[in-house]
Amino acid sequence: MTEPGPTIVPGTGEVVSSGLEGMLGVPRQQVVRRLLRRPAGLAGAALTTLFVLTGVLGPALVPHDPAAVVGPSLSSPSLAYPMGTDALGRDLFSAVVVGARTSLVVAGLVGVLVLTIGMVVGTLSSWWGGWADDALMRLTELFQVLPRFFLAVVVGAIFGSTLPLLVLVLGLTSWPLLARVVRAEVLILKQREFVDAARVAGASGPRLVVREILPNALPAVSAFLGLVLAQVLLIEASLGFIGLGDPDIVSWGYLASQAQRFLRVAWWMSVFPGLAIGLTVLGLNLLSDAISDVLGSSR
Amino acid sequence: MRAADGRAPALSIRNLSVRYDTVHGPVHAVDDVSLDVWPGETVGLVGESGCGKTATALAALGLLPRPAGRVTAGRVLVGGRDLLTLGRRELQKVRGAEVAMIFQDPMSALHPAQSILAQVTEAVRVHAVDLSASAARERAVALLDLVGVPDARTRARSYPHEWSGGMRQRAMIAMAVAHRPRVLIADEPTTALDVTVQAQVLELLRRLQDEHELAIVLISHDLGVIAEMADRVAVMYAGRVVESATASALFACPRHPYTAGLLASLPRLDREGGAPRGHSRLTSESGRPAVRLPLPPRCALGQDREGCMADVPRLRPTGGAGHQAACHHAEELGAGPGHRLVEADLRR
Amino acid sequence: MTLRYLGWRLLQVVPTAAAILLIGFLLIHAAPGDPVLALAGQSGDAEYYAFVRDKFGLDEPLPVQLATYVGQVAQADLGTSYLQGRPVAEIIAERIPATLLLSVTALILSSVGGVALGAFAATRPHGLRDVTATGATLAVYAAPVFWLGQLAILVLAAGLGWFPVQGMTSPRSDATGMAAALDVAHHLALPALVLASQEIAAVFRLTRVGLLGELASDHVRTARAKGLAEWRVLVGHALRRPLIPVVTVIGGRAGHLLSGAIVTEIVFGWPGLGRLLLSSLQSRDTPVVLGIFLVVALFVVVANVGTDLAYRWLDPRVHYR
Repeated sequence: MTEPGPTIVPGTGEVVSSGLEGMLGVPRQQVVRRLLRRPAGLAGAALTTLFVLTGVLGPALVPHDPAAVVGPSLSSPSLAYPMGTDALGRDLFSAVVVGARTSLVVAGLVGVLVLTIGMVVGTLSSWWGGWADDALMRLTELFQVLPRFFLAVVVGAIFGSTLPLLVLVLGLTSWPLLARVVRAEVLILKQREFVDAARVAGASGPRLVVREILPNALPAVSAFLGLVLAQVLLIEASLGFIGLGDPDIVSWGYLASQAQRFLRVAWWMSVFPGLAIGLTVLGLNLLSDAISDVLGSSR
Repeated sequence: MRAADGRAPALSIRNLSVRYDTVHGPVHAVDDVSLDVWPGETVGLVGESGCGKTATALAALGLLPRPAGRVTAGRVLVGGRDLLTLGRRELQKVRGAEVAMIFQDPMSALHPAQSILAQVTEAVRVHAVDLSASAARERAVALLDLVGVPDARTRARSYPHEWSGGMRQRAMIAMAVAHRPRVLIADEPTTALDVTVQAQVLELLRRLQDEHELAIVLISHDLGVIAEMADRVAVMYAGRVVESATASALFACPRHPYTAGLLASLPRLDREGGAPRGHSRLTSESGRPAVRLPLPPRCALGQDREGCMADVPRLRPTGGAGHQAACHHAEELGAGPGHRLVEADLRR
Repeated sequence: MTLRYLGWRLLQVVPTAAAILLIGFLLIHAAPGDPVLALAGQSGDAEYYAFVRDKFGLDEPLPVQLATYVGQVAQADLGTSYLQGRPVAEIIAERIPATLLLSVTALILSSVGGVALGAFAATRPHGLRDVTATGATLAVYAAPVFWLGQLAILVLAAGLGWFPVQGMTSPRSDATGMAAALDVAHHLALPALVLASQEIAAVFRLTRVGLLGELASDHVRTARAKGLAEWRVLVGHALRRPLIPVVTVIGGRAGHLLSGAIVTEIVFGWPGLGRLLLSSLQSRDTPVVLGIFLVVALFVVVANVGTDLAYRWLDPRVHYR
């Protein structure tokens, strides 16, 4: 992960700022409008929407069952098979479209896990402060240095590679960035007037956090969530590529691994699944960048 | 004093115009400005922030922020050459050697992660490439000594954040005078310093000037500093010079309503209540670029704006002794009693 | 850098390393079947299992087992490969040079290339070269590394024939000395470039942003006013501070670099840890997979601390605690 990122003082693991503070009070519709006015924001939103729509509707739209042998093996892209066929004569276009659902499911479930853990750890850490903060941040650091890809490989090797297990491993290891962002945001928001006002009005701590602070931290969090999910998709694809995808499910990484053996004879087997991953990740990155941009420039 | 001995000016800015491209469209930051500085002389360049003082100075050395700012017309003559026509390499040979510059905030003007010694040594070596590293360091220490840094040899190894503001500005001055330039452009050199340190730095500049026949362009919004240092003064408003005169003539008898307003806005100890009289005080324009009108928003003389907008007054001689002002009513203003100030009032 | 700070920072490695060992330990015990299988492999004889069981204290209570396990790992005993019947540590150690060669080359390429590209773009902000470089790095950053590898093979190796497609050395080559080194370099070029490309994107972005700020800064203006040539302003002044976060980003991405190296090795048939990992996965050689995880994880921890120390050394204004 690179810019935009939270400003982290190395070693101390301190997030000084998420780089996004000050976007509070900007009406959400206005954020969306400004987002779509930027070329990067528009492209990111379009690619992400395309990804989500394909993931949701894809299996209902494809011309063939991706597991069915429908044509000659290794035929190059044509009208009948827009992305060609694989070694067994299965339609690659159908497989790529159906593969979007796998990526969407992984991204969605990992996103939920990461958001939940990140929010809980980040909020508790900043709300409690003191030694609890220290301890939680140490824990966050530990998870941050843990090489996710390799852990997922070991878990896959020992327990077998299934989708739920993959989601669990990636979800349980990808939250540190979000925890830091949430922590930094809450620390800033805690000092805002409207929080004071709510406190004066008699709101309790937990209520304050859930009703007032977290909704306001959400835009900043969503920008970083996009970056995290983009990385998660790349890791998932890499795992699929080295043969640790769920063998019962079509995924883009699995398709790319099938291409490796036929690289010289069937370029399409490599090009299209990779393009699908690249465009999806690009979309998420662009969207996240644009969100940070919009929030950052509206201070 | 000026031209009396027939010498050429050390720096001569002729009809300089600078344009900035901003998000709100192009802005004429400097508009047809001319300025001469003779050896050993200090010329004060006065005006509010955004009036084009700094842009004039940066343009002279080709240091305008790129790509937003550029020179659209004019010449900057030093030693018979027009700096604006020089190639990049020749201009680099002039910078720091013939014309040097110091800036407002010595903290940000110094590299934060390099020792002072390294930075002064670098300034020495730029134009003395065959000097050995150790000789250059010796020279750097000597320069720091010269500008009054106590215990320079040991302290020079520290970083800018470990020095005080006054010491940092001395280090900047040491770099600037490393090659005995003809001209020193000092852009608000004391604004970031407190008053006692300010006096010391000004004193240092005066000493260096006496020793080297240095021509100084002193940019400041602080009339006190100008009164103390400048032999001649040019007042800028909205990118133009609106009045230019010897310091004594200008402070004693301003001939442009804007200058009069500036002077009147100074707090005066001998006046009741200490506050300036309201009608001649200038509306503050800090925080945004000055309005690019040929005239102040409100004329201290109460003249009708339409008349001046229709026939924009140009800088013209008035009152003799090289006094120039861009006002149709300069003579009335010069004759009036209301704005007379005693120069001593301005000294702190 | 005070010695005290150095010691304090190194001390911080201990709990992290302990946590990683604990994870390894837990994985062995959570694995289906007897934990001895995860240490000694699937097909040993009873006598050998008894030996491993004894060595790792598998009949003792769990806390004793943990202590024994940590002790064994500390002595670089990571168990035995069931496929090769040799110590895992030995097998891994054989593969490290190849992976290191690939990773370090990529690291150098990406640092130099990323900084150069960032400078190239930032000196003409929003110009053609800036837009092109920014767009290209965005695209590369989003592309999965195996795909970049496959594309590189398709176009540059198989297509144009500029580079060999697979491996580290030419088959049936008996070249020695300089010729052999050149042969390896020829094989290395493409995988190193592919692995570097992602890191280039990260370094580029950071350099560009930092440099844009610096080039507009007062101290760069001072450097210009001194009469320094533009390239010296860039290298001696403007680049100095942006390089500091670049160093930390390079160190902080050690895990990313290594996982990229694994995948790149598989695409290009490079005989390092990646190939080993792949074959161990395919033959269910769990001790080796676990060993690679431990080695990589501990390496990443060390790299992070090293980066942190480098950061403090580079920036004199950071205060020590």
